[in-house]
Amino acid sequence: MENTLTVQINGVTQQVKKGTKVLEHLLQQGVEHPHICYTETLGPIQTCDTCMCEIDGKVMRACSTEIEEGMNILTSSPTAKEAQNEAMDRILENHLLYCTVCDNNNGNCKVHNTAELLEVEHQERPFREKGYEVDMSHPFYRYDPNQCILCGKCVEVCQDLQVNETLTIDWERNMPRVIWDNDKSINESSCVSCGQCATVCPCNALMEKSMLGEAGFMTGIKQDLLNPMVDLIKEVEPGYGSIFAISEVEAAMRDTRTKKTKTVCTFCGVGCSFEVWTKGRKILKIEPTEDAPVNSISTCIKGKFGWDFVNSDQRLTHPLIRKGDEFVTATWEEALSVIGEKMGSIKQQYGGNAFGFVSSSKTTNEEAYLMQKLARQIFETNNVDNCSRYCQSPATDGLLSTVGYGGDSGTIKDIQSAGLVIIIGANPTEGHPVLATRVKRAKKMRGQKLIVSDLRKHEMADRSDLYLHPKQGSDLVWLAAVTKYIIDQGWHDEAFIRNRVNQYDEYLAMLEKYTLDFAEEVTGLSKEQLMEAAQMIHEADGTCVLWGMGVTQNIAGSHTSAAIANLLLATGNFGRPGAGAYPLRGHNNVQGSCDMGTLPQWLPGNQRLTDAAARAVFEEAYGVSISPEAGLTNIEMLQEVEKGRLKAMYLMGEDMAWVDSNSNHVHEMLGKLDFFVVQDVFFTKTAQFADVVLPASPSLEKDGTFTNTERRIQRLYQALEPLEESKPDWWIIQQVAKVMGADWNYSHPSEIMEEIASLAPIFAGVSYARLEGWNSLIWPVQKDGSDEPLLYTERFNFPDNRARFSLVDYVQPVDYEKEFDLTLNNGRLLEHFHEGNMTNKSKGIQYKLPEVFVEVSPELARERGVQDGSTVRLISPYGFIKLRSIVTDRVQGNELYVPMHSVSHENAINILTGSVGDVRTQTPAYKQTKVRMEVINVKGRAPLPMYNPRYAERNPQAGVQVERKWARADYEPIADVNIPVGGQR
Amino acid sequence: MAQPITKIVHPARTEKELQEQSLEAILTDLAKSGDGIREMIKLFNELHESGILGSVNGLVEAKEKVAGIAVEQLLRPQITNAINNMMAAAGALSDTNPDMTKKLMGALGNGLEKAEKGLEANEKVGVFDLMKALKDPDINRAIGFGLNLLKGVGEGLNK
Repeated sequence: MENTLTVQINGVTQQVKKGTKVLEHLLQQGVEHPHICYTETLGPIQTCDTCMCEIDGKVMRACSTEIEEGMNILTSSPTAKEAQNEAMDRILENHLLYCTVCDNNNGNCKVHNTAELLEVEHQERPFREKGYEVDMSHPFYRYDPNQCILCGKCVEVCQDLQVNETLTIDWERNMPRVIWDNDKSINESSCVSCGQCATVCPCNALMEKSMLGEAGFMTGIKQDLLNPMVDLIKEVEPGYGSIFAISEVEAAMRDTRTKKTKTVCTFCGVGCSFEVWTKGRKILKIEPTEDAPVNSISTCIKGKFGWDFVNSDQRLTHPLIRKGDEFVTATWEEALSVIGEKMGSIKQQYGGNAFGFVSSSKTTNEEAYLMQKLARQIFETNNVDNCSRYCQSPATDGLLSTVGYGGDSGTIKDIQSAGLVIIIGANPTEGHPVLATRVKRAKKMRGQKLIVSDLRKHEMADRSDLYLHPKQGSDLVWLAAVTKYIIDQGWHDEAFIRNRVNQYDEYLAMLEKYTLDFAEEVTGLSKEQLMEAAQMIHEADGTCVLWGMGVTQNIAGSHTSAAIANLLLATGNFGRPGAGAYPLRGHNNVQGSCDMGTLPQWLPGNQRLTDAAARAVFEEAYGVSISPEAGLTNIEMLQEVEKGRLKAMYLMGEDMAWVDSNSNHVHEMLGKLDFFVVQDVFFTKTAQFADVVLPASPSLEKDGTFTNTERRIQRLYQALEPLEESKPDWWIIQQVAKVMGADWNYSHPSEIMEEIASLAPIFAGVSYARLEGWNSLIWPVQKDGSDEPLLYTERFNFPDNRARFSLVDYVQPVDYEKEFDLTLNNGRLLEHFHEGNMTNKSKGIQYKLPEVFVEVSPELARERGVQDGSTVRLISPYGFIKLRSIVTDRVQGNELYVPMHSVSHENAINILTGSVGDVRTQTPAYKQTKVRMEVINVKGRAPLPMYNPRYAERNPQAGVQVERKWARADYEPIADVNIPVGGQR
Repeated sequence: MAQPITKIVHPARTEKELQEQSLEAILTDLAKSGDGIREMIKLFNELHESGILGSVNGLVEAKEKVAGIAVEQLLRPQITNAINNMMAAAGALSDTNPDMTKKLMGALGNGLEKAEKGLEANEKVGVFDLMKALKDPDINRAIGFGLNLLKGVGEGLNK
């Protein structure tokens, strides 16, 4: 075979696939071969030198040497051993082995394990400190230069995986070390606290502060006792064998106390999974692994460090019942009996349609499923919706009307491998940070092209090859014009269209008016920019379009979403790897909560309510008849409250009072309900309107599954017991059903998933056994367990298997009176999640980003006399807020930006937003808000602390640059061959 | 018509009620493991009466101080030397062939027995007796062993 090579490894003849590196092969064969700086994700970075082999008589690195025909490889000949030991000795000059009293002694310390594997007994070069202070400045992690072995893994992840480009090793100074930016403290640097450096550190040089003094049995010892103990070990100089033996015993003891539980992150829709390490209720750290299917070792600040809310003293711990003008804590029996009595009598008097049920995009699939079951079976109403109504419904609608599935076309791997990525109205480095790293990496490492269309010049816009700044709400026009231009140039995929797409001729007719001139006039973009965009799409080997709320939260967000699908259909960018449509789901289970049928017109498994056959299946299972009439959306529920027709609401895990648009109006409506139940982790603004508040458990306290933006279903496992009287949402809903007379009798969420699989064909093959550990499934899942990471390779999801061009048109943005002269953009920032109820419980996050503010462009600031720290009032037709300003060129002209992370009457963004919504899905047009601005105080403290990374500058370079290490005068090569490969796999 | 309210009243659960609640939980645990608990009580009584419990308590209470003193003591050169010696000795012992050690220990025992008998007999040994003894194959073997041992130690000291 051409692709197989024959080699000798330790005297044994072996067949190896061409292109395999020696270390890769050894690890695949399960051979224990020393290595420290190599990981599967980062590839060979060649800094540690411990993997040396003797290859054809030469000393060479196993990590970077590609196997060639006839090679004679010796992994532990005397020459190889000597080289490995020499490398380890150099490492131990930089690292003191006080393992037993080290917080990193958890069985997975790479330096410890490699020294032990090499049977190191003594070292030639004594350990010496480097002469630098430990950097404790950052709230979440610390760097101890004296323990740093200079492997540069941290630099490699920061530069080439996270691509935040903060860390480097200063190889040229007398005593090299890792530095942040140009040698600033960590806290003042451009570090965005993703924590990946601490995750990959092979020893204790970079550590999560939450581990310090906590992880070990003896690591809590005070410094004045610890130091002499370390000295003792040094004085006594035992062979390292005995040190390792003791430290292993201690590590084994830790293993009985430290609980390691796999969970799935809840801070966005990317679906990062990792282990959470706990000691009792204390969260020691988040430990990502290369086994995680979406994120591998990557995390962001929230996923790595944002879990303090779980142990917050503000958690709801008991049910509350409204009595007069106060809430009284109650037992579950009391609370449930009030619910049973009230809801029972309202049902009897007004019928099931007097109820509205609001589910959450943060709870599990099983819980969402039970919410719709509660509505449809117990109350026989379709009035059930979820909070993705506020964000993602238009994207789903646009896809359903064109390609047939309301989900991402492929996976993060497709986005990574695309020739061109187009990001429209989304800020993934802040909203979907780990997904953004893959785009940044693809761009940096292999020149993937990037187009960004956004009002705000965020990091991705900064990094893009083409940045488009269209007028607010006009994306559809440039998308249509670019598609038309592509077709006019003959760059479209005619065969694909003819074979697989309907309504082509009608579509061409519709496109007529979208000329470049028209687009230039409406969007303000130049014809040259539009032609350049078309050219880039034409030249790209696969185009992925990523979009977010900048598209969906508009008056015609569903139309723009359809226009994106049209562009991709016209260019044949569906059903092939490295292409497709990717609405970026904002919460962990936006996709899942919709898949589970918490929607007024959909049954679980994305089956239309109007589908009689599907309805019949549920009618039989539930023993009730289900109306084909769509129920009420969240928005309509409140309208019905106003009309007095909706009497009661049951809401799970959503701070509707701050998250829905036009807060003042929402507050008024919630106050009008006859009966209102809220179940949540915290006492939210919404809960203040409730009659009964039920304490729910967050993700770490329960089992279940989430479905991420890729349609990937993943299991989360219970890491902690529910706090006091709080309970998992599935348990609570089951109890409510019970007081209403139905005994569902689920003892574990896996039984709920079995029921879902039996009723929803696209989940037919989903089971907890198949999702064990790091396994995941991407729907649709066949009964035999085969799933579909890439959709549309054979068919589009319509009865005739063909896609459709959407014929919907541009809709002008909402009109405002002239006095409202400023466009108010709004959205997320990296550090916080949603309105902030969870992340504002983290001291470290609050320290880095304590309050919301308004971003003002330099030109507007000059015109209005605004400075950093000026207090301004923003006034819309619906209300006014007061906050401090930051002058930045991230925004331009008369456009402002206010983050959404506030639960304060003073500055919550939705006090300003209006009630107009998307023409097809009613999703509020949050982004089409206009305000006027009054300056209250010119001078004031800047709202963003100087140690926030937004002030610092990045320091891009290609990886760790081992060649600079080799160029040092004092570097004596161990290997006979030294060719830098720069981490490329 | 619900106004938003923020006031939450926790039913004034008295100290006594809370205590009762936690006591109840403990009692349940106790009841589940009656046998073990009874054994433990017996053990604790013994430890208490013998005064061991008291001293252990004292030690634990002063744990940081005690540990400090202990480590301080351990850091004295004599002690670190002693530890090094012990570890070196332990290392040497673990390098020696256990079969040989066994043989040597057996031989030593045998030799001591013979020596004791000689002492009891109270015989005088002259130069001639020594010469004669050298020809005895058992004595010759022992002297040969000793000479080689001395040679080995000498070599070792030279390293």
